[in-house]
Amino acid sequence: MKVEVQNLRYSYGTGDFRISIPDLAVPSGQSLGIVGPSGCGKTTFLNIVSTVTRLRQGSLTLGDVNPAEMTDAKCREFRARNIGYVYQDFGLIDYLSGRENLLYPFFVTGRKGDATLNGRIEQLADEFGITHVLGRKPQTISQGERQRLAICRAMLGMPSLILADEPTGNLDPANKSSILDHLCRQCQTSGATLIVVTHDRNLTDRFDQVIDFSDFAQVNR
Amino acid sequence: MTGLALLAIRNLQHNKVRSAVLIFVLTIVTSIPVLANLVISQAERDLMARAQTTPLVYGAQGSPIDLVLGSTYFSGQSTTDVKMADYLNLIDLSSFALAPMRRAGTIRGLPFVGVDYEYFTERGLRPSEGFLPLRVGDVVLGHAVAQKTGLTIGDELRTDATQAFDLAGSYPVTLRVSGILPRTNSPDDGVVFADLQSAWIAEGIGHGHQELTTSSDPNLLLKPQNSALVANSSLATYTDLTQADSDAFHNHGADSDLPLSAVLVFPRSPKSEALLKGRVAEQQETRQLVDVENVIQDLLTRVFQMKSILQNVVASMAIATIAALFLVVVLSVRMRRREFEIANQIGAPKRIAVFLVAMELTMLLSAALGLTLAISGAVYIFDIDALSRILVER
Amino acid sequence: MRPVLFLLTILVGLAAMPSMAEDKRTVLTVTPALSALAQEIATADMTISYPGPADENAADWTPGDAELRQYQQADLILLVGAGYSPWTATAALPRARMIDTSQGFADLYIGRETDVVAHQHGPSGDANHHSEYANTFWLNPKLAQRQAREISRAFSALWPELAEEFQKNLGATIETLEALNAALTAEFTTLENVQLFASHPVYQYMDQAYGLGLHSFHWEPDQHPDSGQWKEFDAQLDPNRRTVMIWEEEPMLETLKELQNRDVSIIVVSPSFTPSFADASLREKLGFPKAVGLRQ
Repeated sequence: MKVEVQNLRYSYGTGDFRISIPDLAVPSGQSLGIVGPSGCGKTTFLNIVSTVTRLRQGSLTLGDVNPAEMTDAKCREFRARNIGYVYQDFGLIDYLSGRENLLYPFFVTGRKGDATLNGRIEQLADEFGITHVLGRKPQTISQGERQRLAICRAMLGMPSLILADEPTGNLDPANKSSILDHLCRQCQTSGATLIVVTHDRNLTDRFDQVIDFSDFAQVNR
Repeated sequence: MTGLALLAIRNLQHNKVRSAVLIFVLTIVTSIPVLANLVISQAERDLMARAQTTPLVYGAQGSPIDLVLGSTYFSGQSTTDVKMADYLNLIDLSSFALAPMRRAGTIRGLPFVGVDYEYFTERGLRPSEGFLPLRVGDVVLGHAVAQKTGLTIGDELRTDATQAFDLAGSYPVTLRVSGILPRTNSPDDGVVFADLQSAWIAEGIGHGHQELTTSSDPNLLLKPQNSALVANSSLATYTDLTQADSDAFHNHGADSDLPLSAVLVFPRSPKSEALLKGRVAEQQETRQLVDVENVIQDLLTRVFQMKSILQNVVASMAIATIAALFLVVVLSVRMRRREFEIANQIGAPKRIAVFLVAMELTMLLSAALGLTLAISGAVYIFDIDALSRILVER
Repeated sequence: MRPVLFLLTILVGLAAMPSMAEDKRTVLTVTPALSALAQEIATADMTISYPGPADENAADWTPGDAELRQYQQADLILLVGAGYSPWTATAALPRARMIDTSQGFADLYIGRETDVVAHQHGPSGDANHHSEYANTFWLNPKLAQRQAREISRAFSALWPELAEEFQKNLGATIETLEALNAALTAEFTTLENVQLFASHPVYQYMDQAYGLGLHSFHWEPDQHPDSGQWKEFDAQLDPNRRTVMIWEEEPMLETLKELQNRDVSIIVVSPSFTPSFADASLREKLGFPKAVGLRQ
């Protein structure tokens, strides 16, 4: 899914802080790395792209869809079908097993899985090396396993866009690169567009494009 | 099963202790009014059923409720006695049946009641095992008594000593089980019945002793007075009423002076009932004839009052519980904020949190209601009498 | 639940119906003589019976469990009173249905002087119980009449719908007993100059009614008196008069011979036995022989 942004302007309620992106495009199947210091609006940008935060000024096109023209309900449906998320804190549900965590998006969105769903779970788990944690709860497995589980969850719905917010922020250096490699490889295989927010500039060589968000952030004094 | 239901169940399972406590609290809040209602309505039914099978009670002037409770439910304090003479004067075979009775203390803490054979006839009591008392010393056990004590036909039992230092001579007496009554779901189930004569002996009013004329021990006699022999106190007093020679038992004083707790009256027609009421009205200074159904109705009015008090208590309990529950919900939603944020982000409806919490509460409430139903059912089937007795009498 | 209960009630009701139909008016007595009096007054559909054995002295009989249950289930239990059948004092019987047929003439009781035992339990005790009275009232037809009246009164109280019939039967019974009294008076007159002995002290009321001046022994019909008893007997014999001895039952042949040797004849008056023949008259059922007179 191609992601295009033009003349995007976003400011918080107080008006002191503003994001301003004149022009940005991520072609379908490519990856974008976003770097920049904390508080420069990277996460806000991800929320805008994911249609959780509605855009007020400028335009956003996701594939051939303009989210500004969609109702909230349509946006939710769109997110559920097309976007996968990876979080810095993994976003796993502590009362569910690994397998149930993978299915969590299906549970809460009411989306029905097709006949291949179970097979895909096994396949993904196998690829990420987490078959042994499918029956265990998140708090009983390692950090690296947790994030791999979280990435599997994001991939299971076969989204065309993956948004990852500091996916390696809580991982040790060895895990960091291996997991990011996994993520990039999966996206390449599935043809999904990948947008990764990170403050770790050492990891940016994996992305097709890298932008520094401090260029887009403005603070009015 | 929908995904949300699975999530609700998993969350409840994950927080086992919290779930258990909530189910427990909800069960208590729901079962107290249900059980109370069950017990009260059962008590009402029992009381009314008993009242309907006991038309009138004749007794000494005093509290009609005490008289009715004592004579038909064998509970409460003893009332003032009437005498055998009163009973004998009432007898009118074609107009009503009379069941004189004497509450004579307890056996193993259970009421020991002396009755005339007519009591069993009028109550339709036929033993399921053995036979009704045939002689002095025979007792027939109510169904619950037999179950509780494990006594069977032929077993011996002793009356409880009430006045250990009563020199006038109320000794515990030994009696023998002659029969066991079937379950009647009435106060009769909890009583040890004997003939009136046994009751009097147990109270020290009647007694048995050696035949003086056949005794060879001259020391037993104080001195020959004219042709009468006067026995001294070393005369062996029988306290065992189970011996074959119970013909040696007798009462002191005239039979007409023997005490009765009450006389149950079963009129054969409304006319004979009216006539008897007229007769007793003439002795109203000292005697009363009480319409049991009226008295019980009166008592039930009080029960209803109790019921409304109970309802208020339950209502305040329910309010407190709902408040506590609200707090628990607010806290858990706050704790799960991140989870709901993620859910919303990946496309769940906005009200996912409300749905989930509501579903969990519904499950907890269903479990509590299920438990309440099970408890009530168990109580209803197995031991509502015992529960009623505990709750109503204590 | 309710329809089931209703059905059960009906079924139980149906099952109970035949037994209700058999629910005859049942009167039990404690001695055959009372049965005889009650039978005179009863209507044809009533069952009057004495459950004791026919060959045993009713005054000494104590019922077993089965008989006690029969007594418990009777509509009425007719008692002699005055200490006859002492077992009734400790039997668990329906008191309202127990009719003491002698309660109306307690002032006429004759004390059994020789046997009286009263006791007191220390100075405060009550000594008025345990005294024993003679109680074969029916050997005086006048008293038998009063017992009959008491029976009739009890029947009418329980079955008022039959009161008229009872009253009529009572009238006839009174007449029969009047006639019996007249006959006995005449018959005993023939024994005016005869010395009368009794084998047992059970004839007090007959003695009193007909001025017999009886002397009583304690002889059992089935036991031969020992020499001491004969000695006592002989000491009482009046050599100047004929002597007749009244027995409750025919004595042993040996005793009979001894009595014949002394020229003593016997009369059998058995107040507490069932007559051995079925078509006995009321006179015989009360214990009298067909005629009182000297036997050869």
